[in-house]
Amino acid sequence: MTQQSEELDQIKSKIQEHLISSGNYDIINKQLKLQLYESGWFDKVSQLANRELQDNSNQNFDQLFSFVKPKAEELVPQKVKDEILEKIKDYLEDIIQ
Amino acid sequence: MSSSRKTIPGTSGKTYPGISNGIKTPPVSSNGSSNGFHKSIHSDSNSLSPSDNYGDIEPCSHLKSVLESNAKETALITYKQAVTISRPIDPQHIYTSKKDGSVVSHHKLLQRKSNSLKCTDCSLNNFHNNFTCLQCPHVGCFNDHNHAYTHYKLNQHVFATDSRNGLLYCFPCGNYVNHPQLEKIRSEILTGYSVSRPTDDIIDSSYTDPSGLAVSGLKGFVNLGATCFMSSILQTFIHNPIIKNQFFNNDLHYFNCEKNLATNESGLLDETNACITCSIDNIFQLFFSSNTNEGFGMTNLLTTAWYKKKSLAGFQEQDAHEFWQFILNEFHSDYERIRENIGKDPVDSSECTCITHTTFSGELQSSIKCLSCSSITKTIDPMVDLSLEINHLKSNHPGSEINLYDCLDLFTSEEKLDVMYTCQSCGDKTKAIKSLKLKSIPPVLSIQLKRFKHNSLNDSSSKIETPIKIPLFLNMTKYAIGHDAEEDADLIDGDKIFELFALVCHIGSVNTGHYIVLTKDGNGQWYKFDDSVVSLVSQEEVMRTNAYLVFYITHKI
Repeated sequence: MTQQSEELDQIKSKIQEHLISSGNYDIINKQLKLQLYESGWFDKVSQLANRELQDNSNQNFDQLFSFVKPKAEELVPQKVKDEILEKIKDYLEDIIQ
Repeated sequence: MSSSRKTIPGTSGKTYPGISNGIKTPPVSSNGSSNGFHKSIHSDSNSLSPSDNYGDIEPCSHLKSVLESNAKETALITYKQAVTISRPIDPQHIYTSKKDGSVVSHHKLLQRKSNSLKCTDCSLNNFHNNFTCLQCPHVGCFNDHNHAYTHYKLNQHVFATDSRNGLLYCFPCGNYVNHPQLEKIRSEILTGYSVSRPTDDIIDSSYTDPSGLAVSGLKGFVNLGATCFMSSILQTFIHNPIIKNQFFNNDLHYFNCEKNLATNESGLLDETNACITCSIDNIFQLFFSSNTNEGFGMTNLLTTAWYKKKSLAGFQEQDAHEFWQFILNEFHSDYERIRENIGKDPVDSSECTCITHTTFSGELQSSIKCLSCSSITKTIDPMVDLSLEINHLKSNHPGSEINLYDCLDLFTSEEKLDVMYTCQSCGDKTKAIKSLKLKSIPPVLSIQLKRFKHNSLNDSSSKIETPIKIPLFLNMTKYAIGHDAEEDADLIDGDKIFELFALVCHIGSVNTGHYIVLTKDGNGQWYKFDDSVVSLVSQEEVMRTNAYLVFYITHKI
């Protein structure tokens, strides 16, 4: 691992730990989940995975996952991405000196 | 189309939902379930709880060989440890140390969990989403660096446990795997009750797999003359996972109903063999084993319903909501009749485990605040559905459409009582403020939008066509007791989230209207039932439809 990615991991690790211990991860996570459900994203991804499995029933979890993952990420409504990013930024602003 | 509802005098036209006539409901004690859920769906030890489907995941050859080897016991012990670490920390539970019984704070517990779930190679805990190796203490991440996979490659440690769902993952197979012995451990630790499944040989020898069509239960009902009000409601039962589960396990009724066993010489329906539960059981049997998609003619149910409720006879269009209440009443009284048949004592409604009560029963708390002494009197009443006013409703967000939350806000808002109220604590006869909140929410939340208005002056009915936006997922947190509607408007309690799965829509005018129903299957696909025509519809079309009755099912997040 390069030094840069090591440093990045360290920062990530600190942020992850702080988000969890402050209870904010739970709150933001639930908000994200609810928005993803409400926008119909969950149902769309469900259908996507099901259709893919119907067309190619001979695949394992790994293969299905690598097919669905990029499409699912793309399907997330921009509005949801922006809102949750805002919440995380607000939270970080409070804790980073 | 006017329907009778119980009205409490002085509530200025706001009707109070209650279980309709026929079901006696003594006041429920205030020691109802505090977590917002009806207890009987979990406490009935005979019902198979419809938990997650992970128990159906098959073992792979690698897993089978481990469980047949000497390493089996060690593997199970390590697996049990791994699942225990994955368990989410319950804020209600008090944790004590095994060493000395002292209380361990949640904060400390969380810290310990975070530390144990850090990836061995990069120290990221990934919000407790990592893989714990089954053969050594290694913890590996799978996003970004994928250290879990690298660990497998370097050490040939084939298995790891997913710290979020507690399932075992097999790296060479690239699949999650499971086995009844593992599932027993996992379900006990993560869900609190162990799911036992019959062994494979019993299944293989006694059953053949049903066709895909039968499994989906997708069928229309032939319209036998303005019967769409019945067929719409029936579809909401057929595609309701909780009711479906109960009818798939309906042996108690089937073998103890004297009407089922009665043979009638003339073949006609009468007192000896008319039973709604039996008729609907029959419909479930046919829908879920049929290999054709032709429409179903519900003559048996129709005749039974006419026998049980004379007002249903005739070919006029009736109110779907009234029919829904009628069926719920029948389920309950049939259940009481069966209990009597098998010699059991009748139980209080609050503990009744009939289909109606386990699926739809909740509690409403009514708070009345005396304006002179500020004391609040709370009463709890049972309910099976919410009837929401939509007349004169304006959106809380100007410029946007009215949505269901606006209706719920109105329902739970403070209301000044017209009639003078005698306060129980200060004795004054004063004005009072009343508000409603949900004390416990049933697994299936049913909502009626009051679209039909009865004009008493000229004895006519009219329909309110106001479009109301129905959310695909409903957050009921702020309407539950213990929460303030304004302060907690954005709060999310994972147990109070509900998923829309059925809508009954009325099209046309009051007297010449037609009902259609939309339901969602387990894969997120919506279907439209227009009598015998079943078609696929998009999510967008569902959200644009003007609903009359909506049904939500619990979906914890």
